[in-house]
Amino acid sequence: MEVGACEAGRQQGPPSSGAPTSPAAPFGRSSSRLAAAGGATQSFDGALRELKDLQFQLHRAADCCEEAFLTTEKKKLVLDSTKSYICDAVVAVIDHLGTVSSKLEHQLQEKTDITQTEQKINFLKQRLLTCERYAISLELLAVRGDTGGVQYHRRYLSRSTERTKEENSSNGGPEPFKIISTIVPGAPRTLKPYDVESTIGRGCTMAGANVESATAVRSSFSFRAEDLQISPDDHKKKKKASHAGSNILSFIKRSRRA
Amino acid sequence: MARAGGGMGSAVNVGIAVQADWENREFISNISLNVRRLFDFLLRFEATTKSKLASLNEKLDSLERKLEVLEVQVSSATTNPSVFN
Repeated sequence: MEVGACEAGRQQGPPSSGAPTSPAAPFGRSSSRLAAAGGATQSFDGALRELKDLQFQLHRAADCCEEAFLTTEKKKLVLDSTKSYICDAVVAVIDHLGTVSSKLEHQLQEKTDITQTEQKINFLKQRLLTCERYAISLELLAVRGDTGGVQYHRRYLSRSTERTKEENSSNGGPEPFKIISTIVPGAPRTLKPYDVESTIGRGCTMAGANVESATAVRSSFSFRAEDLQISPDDHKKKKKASHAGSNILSFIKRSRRA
Repeated sequence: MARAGGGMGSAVNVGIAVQADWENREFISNISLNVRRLFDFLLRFEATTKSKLASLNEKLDSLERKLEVLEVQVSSATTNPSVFN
């Protein structure tokens, strides 16, 4: 009688416990492992909930077994049933713990979101670095264009250089180096980083060759076709060449007429 | 004779009781061993889970810091748009 009560007590459990119970198997296997549907988070939460429910179920079963052992006369039978019950309970607890641990391990190993976020952040950092390099190149262009801002210490200037500087300032002559800009002042100008290298490279090489004339210097800093200024000698040569071409044409015309 | 039979019977009963007691002890030792193993597993599981969660937390913190730095850099770039004109 008491054994039957104990068996009934085994089947008692919280209604929220998802595992089906039976007298032969008081604790069903964890249903979370079998549940294929649902996300990993939901399955982990379900497994954890089942483990918590198992705790209350075990406490109630232990109280029931103790009461039955104290009240019954067939203590051996109650003891045997309690032993089998304990074995099943241990197996069920281990099963639930394995389910919970495997779910948690699976969740921790799924770090695809973190990796993707890391890659996105690295991509953004790279883009920002490119923008910074672009801005730095623009700043460098502005600094290089400002020749007046370049000042050397007296220690590194020879007296002859100082004299020529003073003469230039007293004569009020043109500045030896001046960057010609074809852009209207006040208009927004978009400078590209490759402009810096081309302008500076050409300017340095040509300025070294013809520093005597200011026009040559001026033409050296301009690299566009429309900005090129031809010296008067070159212009005369071209005129002569064109004259020669016209002479040839007139000769051909005369020969045709003849 | 009857006494001797009674004595033999009591001795047999005592032997059966001792055997049952040893069986019970064996069962209890088995159960306690399994519970200890379960406890060891729980301790190891706690340690590994803690370390994994700590590494995850560290990664999330680093991501958060990187995001904050990026936000500051982007905001500084947007407040000074003339640099990119």
